[in-house]
Amino acid sequence: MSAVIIKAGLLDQLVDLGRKGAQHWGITPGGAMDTYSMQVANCLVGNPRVTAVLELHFPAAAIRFDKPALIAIAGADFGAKLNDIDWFTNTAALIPAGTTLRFTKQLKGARAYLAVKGGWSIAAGLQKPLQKGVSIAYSPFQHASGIKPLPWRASALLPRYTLRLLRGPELDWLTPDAQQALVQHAFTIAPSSNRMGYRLQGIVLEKLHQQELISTAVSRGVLQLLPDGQMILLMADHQTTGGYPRPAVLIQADQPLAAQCGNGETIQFEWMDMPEALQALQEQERDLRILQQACNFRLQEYLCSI
Amino acid sequence: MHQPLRIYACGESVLTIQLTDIISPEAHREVMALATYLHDAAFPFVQDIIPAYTGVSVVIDPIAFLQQYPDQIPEQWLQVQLHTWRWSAEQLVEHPIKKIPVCYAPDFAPDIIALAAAKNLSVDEVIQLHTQMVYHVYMIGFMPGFPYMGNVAEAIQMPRLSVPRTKVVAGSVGIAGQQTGIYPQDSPGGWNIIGRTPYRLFDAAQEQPCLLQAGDRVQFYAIDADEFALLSKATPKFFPS
Repeated sequence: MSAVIIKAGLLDQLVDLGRKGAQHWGITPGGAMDTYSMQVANCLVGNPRVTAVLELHFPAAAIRFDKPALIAIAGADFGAKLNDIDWFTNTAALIPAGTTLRFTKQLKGARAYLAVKGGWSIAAGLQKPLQKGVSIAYSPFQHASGIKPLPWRASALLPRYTLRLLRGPELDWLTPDAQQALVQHAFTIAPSSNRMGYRLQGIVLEKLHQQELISTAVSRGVLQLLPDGQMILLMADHQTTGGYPRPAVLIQADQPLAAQCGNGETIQFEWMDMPEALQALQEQERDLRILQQACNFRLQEYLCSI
Repeated sequence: MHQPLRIYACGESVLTIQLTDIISPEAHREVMALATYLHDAAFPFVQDIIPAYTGVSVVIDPIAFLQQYPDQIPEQWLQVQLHTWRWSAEQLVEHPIKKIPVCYAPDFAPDIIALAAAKNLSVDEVIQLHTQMVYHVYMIGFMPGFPYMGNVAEAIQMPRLSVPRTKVVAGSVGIAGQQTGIYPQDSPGGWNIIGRTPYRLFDAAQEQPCLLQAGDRVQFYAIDADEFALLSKATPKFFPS
């Protein structure tokens, strides 16, 4: 008894916060693209924030739940419906056995996160695209019958198309004009972008010299300058080492926002200093902690009252 | 005598200590000594230590770091931590040489004839030049378990293919400039493929999933297609101890 994929999506998989500490073996950390929304989904059902969730791209899977459950959806808004009832992003719902979850249209964002109270069994494998017919086990959550969207909503990150950058180790390899262009021009996320990285189309950034960089470790958020003067933004499944110059790095607090930008969308950049970036990250972490406490409290109260 | 350590941040989580600008086994010993030192220091917020050609990258959890050092910048903290660290020859651990069989027959080596021709060598001379060296593993990167090794004899150094292959077979041994490497899995790739090993380079089920580690020493030896077939069947996942 479990959730069954009755129609496969474009790319739906179980993700967590990724595997840290294996990059020296060439293993990419991976994990959710939008780690913030992934944690929001978990908070809404009262899970530990690190619990694995389903990451959905549009068109997303249709899923039938064979047992009653407490579920939550966060991140992108794909026009979710529980049977025929509209279900809003950043909310949780109690559902009876036999409920089908479908996604009708891509309204906002690029990646949605589906959490179930108690967590998904990861026997189907983390980061393996889920095919039609696959079932994913979870522990049932008993409650009175009927589909009941819960009457509160988590505050989401506000979408923003100006993303903040830290200066990268090779920023001064760029001409002064190119350094300015980086934060003055808009860049479009190319259609070939994926979970490994976003190819950014925009003004060609000129280098001062053709010096070669010796390969070293890279991470999510790094902007690499390719030989043709275009940049690539490394995302969750990036290669572990790289030899392209790194003019800038997207701050961690804005990486979830980048993950919600889809192919064809346009982004801009502005500079930020390290202390500010660290503060932004701490504030985000604090917001998640507050959300977790608030959700636990509301859930307890609500479940006692029904 | 000592240059001051060059430490730079690349984002909030990655700190790189660059020790040298030279790619050589000698310079890399210092890289490995520093990686070992950082490993032994066991800082609770350090998540990974990644040795590369010329330096070591340290991956930290910035939230955990700030809980311990609320008003500090990670880069400055690492400067202080490494202020007294100096490389010395006593820190050197010489790894035993790991012997890896390679079949250089043309069926396993799509680029060996072209490489030999470009270098005015016979195929046998290419094999001899490739097997005579003891290579140093500088880093693991690109894909799980891929070893970047060097330095390749100048006579057989060859730039990457101008058009990368869409599929290089797992086990393929390649040359790119002064580097030689082994593809652990089927993958696209631009290195000149001069042979293939029956050994498995990466096995996620093992506690230590990579056949080779940064700092290892490697020597190849030539086998024929029959030996390749035999070893493929009975491939030891890891070297016999």
